[in-house]
Amino acid sequence: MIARPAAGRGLPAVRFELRASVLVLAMIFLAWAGLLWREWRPPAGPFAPMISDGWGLAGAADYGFSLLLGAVGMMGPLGIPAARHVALSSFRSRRVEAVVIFIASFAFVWVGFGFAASQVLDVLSRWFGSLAINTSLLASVVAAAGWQLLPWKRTALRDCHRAVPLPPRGWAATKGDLTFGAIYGFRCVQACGGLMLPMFAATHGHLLLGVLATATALSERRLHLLRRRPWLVSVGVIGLAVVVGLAGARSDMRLIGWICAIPDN
Amino acid sequence: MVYTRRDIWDLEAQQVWHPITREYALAVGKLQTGIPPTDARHWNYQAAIHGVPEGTPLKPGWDQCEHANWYFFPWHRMYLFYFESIVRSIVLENGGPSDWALPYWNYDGGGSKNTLPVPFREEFIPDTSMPNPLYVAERGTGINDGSRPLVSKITSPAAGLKTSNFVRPPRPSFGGGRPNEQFRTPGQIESTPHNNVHDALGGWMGHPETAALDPIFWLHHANIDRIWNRWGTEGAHLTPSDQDWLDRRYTFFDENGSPRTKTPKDVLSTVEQLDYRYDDDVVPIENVPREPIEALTRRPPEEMIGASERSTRLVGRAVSVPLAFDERADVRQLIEERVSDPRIVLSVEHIDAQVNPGVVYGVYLEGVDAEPVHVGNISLFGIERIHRREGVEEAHDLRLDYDVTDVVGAQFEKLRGNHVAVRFDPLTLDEADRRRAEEENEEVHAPIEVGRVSLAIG
Repeated sequence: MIARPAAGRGLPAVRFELRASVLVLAMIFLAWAGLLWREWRPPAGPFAPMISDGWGLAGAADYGFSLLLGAVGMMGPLGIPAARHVALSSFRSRRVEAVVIFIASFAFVWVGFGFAASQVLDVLSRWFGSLAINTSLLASVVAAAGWQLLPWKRTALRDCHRAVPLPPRGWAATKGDLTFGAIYGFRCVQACGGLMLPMFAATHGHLLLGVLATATALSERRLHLLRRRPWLVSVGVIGLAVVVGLAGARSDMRLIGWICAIPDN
Repeated sequence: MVYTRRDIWDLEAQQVWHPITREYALAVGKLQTGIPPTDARHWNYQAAIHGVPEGTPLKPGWDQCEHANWYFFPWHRMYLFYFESIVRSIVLENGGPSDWALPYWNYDGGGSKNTLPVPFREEFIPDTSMPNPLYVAERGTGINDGSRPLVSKITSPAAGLKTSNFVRPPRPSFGGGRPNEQFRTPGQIESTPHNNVHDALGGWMGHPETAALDPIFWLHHANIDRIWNRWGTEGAHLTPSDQDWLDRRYTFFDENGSPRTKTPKDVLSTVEQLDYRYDDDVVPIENVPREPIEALTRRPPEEMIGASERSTRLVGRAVSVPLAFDERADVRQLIEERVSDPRIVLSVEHIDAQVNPGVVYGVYLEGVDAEPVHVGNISLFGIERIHRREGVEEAHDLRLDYDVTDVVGAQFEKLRGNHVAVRFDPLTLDEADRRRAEEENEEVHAPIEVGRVSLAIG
């Protein structure tokens, strides 16, 4: 048997437990600080620059950075259980590195999704810009509601907890963390990507919509009711959109109407 | 009245085809053919409560068995309780003994008890031309003729009975992991002997969807239930106080076919709450002590100190997997960080297979002692359910944990470099298949993938 240490020795039990979660929470906090700063002092140019407009790589990189902040800030909470798994499955000597690599890989998948989604929605708004409604926002709401009912969403939600074996050291370990982050990111996009679409289509209030989407995604993970009845979220999305749309028609409902204002372009 | 469940081998030693056994056989026959299939008491309906093939339209109460989580013990206790009440009502209708109780099969009881009890091997009920309802042709090779006894490595509950905690932390646990944790983690007894015996018997017993169709299923689970009883009474161990565990509701059907609901807190004491005991009970459980939930969360999580660098495929031959260690880890210091009950835990992670090959593998730790030390087993009873696409429960990879604290002892200096490996050796493969696998390099069964093996201080 292993002999127990003398009384009074030993580190506080919670120190290790907190380290991994604190690291991820710190990353989320910093990402939100960046997002709020950019809301207060937005960069010049359209929200979602079209590369084909000649906005250029600098604009695209700037937008990509804001997507990265959004991915870490809004999707980070969904990645905490997996990040904790990465921490526990890694040697102590490379734990921080493993978690950072995982979160970065996870976030970059969301950046890719964000780029693709915003470009598609921007094309829609340009094609139907003359209409009296925000077409891309309407399309994103319909897509968000319909996404909930797709079988691949349910599959992704079921597979959320599945991990991959992580090699313990060397380049294989780094590759393992990258791979797991990417796989986890893809499953996350598959499960929750639809909920994020209105955020890309809205003219303003992206952060508010992003927070709502994250809260909904977290609720789906935790509540059996929502997992068994995904149409409830669909109904919620459409209901919220109807409320926002009706309120937007009233000029005195400024905050809500502001979200679905027709874009200037 | 408190009913007493008895060891079937002891009953048969008193009298071949003891009245308890005979009445069980007759009741099983009636449940199979004497009542309508739509009746919830029908044999097939009762078996379907445990599991059905994926895609089967579900009837009330079907497909609800709990495995690889902490509901395993209470769910099966409830399942057996109601099944026993149904059988007893038929026994009484037939004029059988009023104290009839479900026997148990103690395959670890020594002597010839590790072979299938004789009444389950005979095709006809003695002195009659009646087909024996206890006989099932769909069993593994050598089971029905008694030529293949169950080895003690797969029947012994010793490792599980030494485990002091019902739920982790620390690993391993007696009762199994919480649902929706990162991994599915069966408890120690669920692994060995429960899963091992299912796989060793094979046939219907080899799959959750058909296991309860074999009449030996109920005696096997009565033994598993008896082991839980023993762990709680003789070991004075604690059951969870977590409300998520205590208040989980399940519905079964009583002797009238009426639905009845129970929770784990309704089945903690077999004597006080369910009116039965086992013939070898030492102390009846009266006030079942509960483990304070705070004690569970104060313990630091495990610290990994070694792991394999590649995945492994098990196809019938013995395989050794070396472990790589964190050379910067101070194992002695990590152990001292754990103020109480430090453990060294070997984990076999990301275990997967498309189908259960029905082979039990022994797990051995090499490099710590002069000879490889057997620390536990792997069997994949129920593995197919991980791949199910129905339902809303999250899919998780399987992990099996083994307490190797006593094996390692104070030999921390061996936990470094290339000294230590984990060996997987098939225990229940027949000799011909073994030779083909070793000498001809053939894959003799559906492959089992092992993603990683790790060693941790917990």
